[in-house]
Amino acid sequence: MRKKLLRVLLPGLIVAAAVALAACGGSSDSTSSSGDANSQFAAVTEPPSDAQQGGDLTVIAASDVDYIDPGAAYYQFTFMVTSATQSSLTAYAPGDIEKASPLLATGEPEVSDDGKTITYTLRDDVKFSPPVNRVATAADVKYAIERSLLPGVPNGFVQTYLSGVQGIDKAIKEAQDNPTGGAPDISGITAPDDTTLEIKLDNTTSIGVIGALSLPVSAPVPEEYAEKYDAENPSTYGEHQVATGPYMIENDSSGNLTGYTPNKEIHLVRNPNWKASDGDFRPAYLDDITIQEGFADTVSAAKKVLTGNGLVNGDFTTPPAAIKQAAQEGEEGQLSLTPSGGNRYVALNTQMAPFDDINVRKAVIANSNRVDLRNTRGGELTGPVATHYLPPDFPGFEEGGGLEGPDLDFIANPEGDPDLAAEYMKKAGYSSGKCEGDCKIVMVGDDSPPGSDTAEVVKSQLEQLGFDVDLQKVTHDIMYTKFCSTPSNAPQVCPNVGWLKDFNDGQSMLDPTFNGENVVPENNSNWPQLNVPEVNKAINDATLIDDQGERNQAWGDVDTMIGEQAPAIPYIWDDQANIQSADVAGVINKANANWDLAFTSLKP
Amino acid sequence: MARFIVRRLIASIFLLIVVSAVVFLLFYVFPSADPAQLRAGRQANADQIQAIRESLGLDKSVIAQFWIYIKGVFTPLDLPGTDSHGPLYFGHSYQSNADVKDVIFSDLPATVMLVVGAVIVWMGVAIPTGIISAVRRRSFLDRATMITTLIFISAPVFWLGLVFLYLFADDVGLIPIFPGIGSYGAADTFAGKVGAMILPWLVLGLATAAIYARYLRSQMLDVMEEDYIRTAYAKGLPDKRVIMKHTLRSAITPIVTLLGLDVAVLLAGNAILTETVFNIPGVGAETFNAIKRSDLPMIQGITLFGAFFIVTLNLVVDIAYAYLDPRVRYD
Amino acid sequence: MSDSAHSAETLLSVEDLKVHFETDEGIVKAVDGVSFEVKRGEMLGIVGESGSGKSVANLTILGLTRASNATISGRIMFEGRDLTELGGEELQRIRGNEIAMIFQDPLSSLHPFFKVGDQLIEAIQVHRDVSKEEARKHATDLLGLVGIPDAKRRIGEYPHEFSGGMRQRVMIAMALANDPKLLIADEPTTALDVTTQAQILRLIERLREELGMAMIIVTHDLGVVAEVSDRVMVMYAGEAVESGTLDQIFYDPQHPYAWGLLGSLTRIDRPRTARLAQIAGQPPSLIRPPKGCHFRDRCPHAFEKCTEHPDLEARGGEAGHTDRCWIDPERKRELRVVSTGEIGLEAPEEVTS
Repeated sequence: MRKKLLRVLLPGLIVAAAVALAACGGSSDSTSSSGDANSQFAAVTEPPSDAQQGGDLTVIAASDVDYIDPGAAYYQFTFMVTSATQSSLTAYAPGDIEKASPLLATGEPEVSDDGKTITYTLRDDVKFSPPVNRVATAADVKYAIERSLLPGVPNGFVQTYLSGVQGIDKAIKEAQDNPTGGAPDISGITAPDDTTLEIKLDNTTSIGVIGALSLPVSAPVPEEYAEKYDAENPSTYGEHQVATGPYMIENDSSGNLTGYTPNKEIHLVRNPNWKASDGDFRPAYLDDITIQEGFADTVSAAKKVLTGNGLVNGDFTTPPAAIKQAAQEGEEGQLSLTPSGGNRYVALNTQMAPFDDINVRKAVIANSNRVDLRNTRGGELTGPVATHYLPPDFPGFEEGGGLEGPDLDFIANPEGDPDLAAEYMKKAGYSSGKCEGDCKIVMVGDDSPPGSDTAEVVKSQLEQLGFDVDLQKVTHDIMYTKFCSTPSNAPQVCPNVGWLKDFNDGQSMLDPTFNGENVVPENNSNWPQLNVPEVNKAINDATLIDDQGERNQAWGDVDTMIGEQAPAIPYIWDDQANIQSADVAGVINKANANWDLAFTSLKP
Repeated sequence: MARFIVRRLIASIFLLIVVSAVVFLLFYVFPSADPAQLRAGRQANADQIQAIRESLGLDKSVIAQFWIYIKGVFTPLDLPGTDSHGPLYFGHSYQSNADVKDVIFSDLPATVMLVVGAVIVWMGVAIPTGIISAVRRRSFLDRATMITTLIFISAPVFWLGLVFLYLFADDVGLIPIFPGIGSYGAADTFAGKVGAMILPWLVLGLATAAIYARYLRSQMLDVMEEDYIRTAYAKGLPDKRVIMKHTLRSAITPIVTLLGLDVAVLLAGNAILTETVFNIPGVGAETFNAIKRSDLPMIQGITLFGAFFIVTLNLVVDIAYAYLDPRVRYD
Repeated sequence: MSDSAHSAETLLSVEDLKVHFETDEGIVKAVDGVSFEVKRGEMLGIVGESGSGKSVANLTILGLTRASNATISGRIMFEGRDLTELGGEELQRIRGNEIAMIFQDPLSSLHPFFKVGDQLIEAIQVHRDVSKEEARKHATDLLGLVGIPDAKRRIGEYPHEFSGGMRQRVMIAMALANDPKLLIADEPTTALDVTTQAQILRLIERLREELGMAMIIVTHDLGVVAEVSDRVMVMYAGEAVESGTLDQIFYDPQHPYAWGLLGSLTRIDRPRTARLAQIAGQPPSLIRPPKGCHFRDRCPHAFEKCTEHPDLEARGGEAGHTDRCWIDPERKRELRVVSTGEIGLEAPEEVTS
């Protein structure tokens, strides 16, 4: 999802947009680190009371979904589609922050007293779209989860979050040994009847499992229809999928998607088998939704949305120039700023000199002017300056210190504190307060703005401390896959990393990124390679807490513990800037930080 | 001539193999992102990545991968019981899993439409402009034209595209008269698609017309110095006939070569900037996506297709040359 | 030489023709006050080095001096009309029709992309309202007339399929297409080998006799003139420096420049000597030619008087024999003999073998 993060937040590469970003970043003199300044653009999470039924909407997008297959979908923009076409067990309604609401399930999942069994009760009135046309059952959900273990359905998160489900290891092995042999059976997931789904766990990891099952992987898939597609590697079910939500991707009578052309268009029409019901919180006002892709220049795409009719932005965040225009000239409600649930930081490699010394790391953070770093991404309107890792509007955010941040001197001043930095350098043994002797540092950053701008600012900040920085610039993908995510080849500093939540739980934010046990030889996401036993333990313990309040506190504490280790310079919690045409009554799904198509309508 | 064509076709196949090899090598020699990791997603574990690597064939040696690829492209038949896929099998996209050939074929109509229209615009503008400038050499008209063309040549197409959009597009333009960005994809009818192409045609057409006009002008001026043009005047032919028949006929011949190559290169995805600015779902936009996503089969497929266009149109140009210039003979 | 008495009527009369080109370096006086006449059926030879203005003068007659920086003055009277005053269309009617021209380099003077037949047909049809078929027949006849064998087939071939001499025959055929009254041949044989030269000259001579047209032959080679001309004009640095009948020029040349030209002539009736005379020095600048006699700098016999510009006038020779040299005619007779029987400028000392 890093790559997807890139696509959500950095559809860069485009000179015009980049210039606009750089120019805007440079001109912003605001030093505010608060998100309050943007409250006038707060997201609307409820449709108007007189919302109009019908109408066509066009979503303007730069790129395509990651996988059209809901079983593999793992990207904000894809979730925008699946939230309209699928019915997962639970799902985040527009205003949901802490946890998801029941959708295919009739109510909250029940967790047994020992915390090791989760039981969902399913609605009996949800039908698959044509050509399947039958009622979806618990067995279809079991199949959906099982098929996501197939190598041909490259799901990026199930194996992580469902690792505590009984029998999953055996199922994973089975699928890998025989990729075209059909979905493997997970013994811990059973469907005793059509409306009951039971999940047995080895451990009390129910919150993580329930969280993961709020994602479209839990949307039912009819086995008798899908198995022939799943017998291929890669599976082609995505191109033949059926829907359980109010909308479906247009298809022909045999189920072939006619409404999807990769990189070009996704056309959603109403699902004739879907009916409004008490069990489904989605009003589904619109008749027809076209997602038009390929708008590489986000500046002109944003302008088109702002001046046009019936348009909203899709996968791209509005570039700063267009945000400014929308803020100043647009009609009320055309711009909305929503915390994206993501952070960005400069990772310091804790396993390599000189950053294996915590005092050097603290000095670097203390010295850093994080407002300058944020300005490289467009300044105040793009989000508050980060002080820790859990983002605003996220469970554990307040417990982790809120906007002010934890009580740590080296992170206290967003504009940096050179004197304090010098002190920490002295503690690290550099008597002059600056690095002396062999001060060579390798840094691998993006080769295109805004990432490359951030990298340059980081470089100059490190040079202030006497470091001799060798900045290598490569594409964003190469930066990750060849350098920062491959520990054996990782540089001392990775200035362009960041993380976007999977679902609203601290585990999805902090476990992959700071748990030392999760450092792997490739595709590593713990970029600072932080490996502190107390932190690891605190993270592992927190994943097992199944009381929401306690859990939030625990993740907040973990967040602070990580901050104390000074593994990185957190510098922004991105706000997602979403825009709509003046005639659209858009509703933002806060958890997805994007338009909720099933709630959006056209103004009467 | 027939022997010449056959020889050239055989050479072309070897050339295409070499091009494939070069692209393959470039992809492996120069740093590029790991497609398996990109496809696997951020939470994928080592086994999952390995599984994807195997399914993409990336676990095999470069030579083996290359051999499989070459076999796929050049095996002419879909032989039952073998792993052949019929002719021109370029593999599947790492990212969208679509058959590369199908994707390219689906991209071609938009690109062909863009290029054909642009060629009409640029030849339609360049030929009269080049002729008038040459005939009225050093006049005010000539100087004004040459300065204008210089501006169009210097301006990046991307920038020019944005300027035209902000001036004339019906969504973001000051004078909203022509369909704007993304209108090609949004159009359902052929007429709608033609409308959507007006601005791209103008931008690509005028940018290229500038080059052609200058080239034609200098060709015309050269030819006008030729003895046989003096002969034509001495015969008592009217000026118009000397210019439009005798001079233009010679001056336009090298333009044909240029045109053939330009069309080939544009079909090969070189309309990338125009297609990107206007969001035209063509080969160029596909190239942009493929490069952005380290999608080797897609890049490879587009490159080979491009090489094919270039080789083919080169051949067409050479054959056309033999008809245009009777002194040229191939045997 | 043919009898010019059958018609003494003047066909072309060039009077004080000046062709000046404005350049960044100054005004190039390519032709600076040249006058001559051509009578019906007469053959005039114009002789001079390259850059002497002979070609420019003749191109100007046809209105082919097209450079925008050219200024033309004087009169070119052709059958009572002043060609310098005519508009483009009127000139077009004369070109290739009443006055035709053939050029130096037959290799580059035909359009390489068109069949010779089509180029001939075009030349016919532009002046005559005939069908393509008639024009084609006429074109075939013309090719036969100029001695191209198998004309019917060759009419469909391209210029590059013809040899140099054959191409010049095509050029001649094209020039004759509309029975011109005046044919201007600009160095018609220079680009050809010696054998072909002779053939082409014989052809020209034969055709002129058959068709009775007047002709101007422009050349740097007095030998060419010797074979075909009635009268000769010698040009130097934009001016005529001597003018007279062929015999006058050959047997009693008045201007030292003409001596030089005669001396450099290879004559098959004389033994070749190592001392093949050449004219030393370079042709003068046409922007700032030497004051007085333009040839003064290269003339071994120059004296004080030569700083005055001599007019073109009869200076003691026969009537109609004019020149621009101040040297006393008697003295000239002594000076011009290099060795017994040879006429020419004294060869420079450093002559190479």
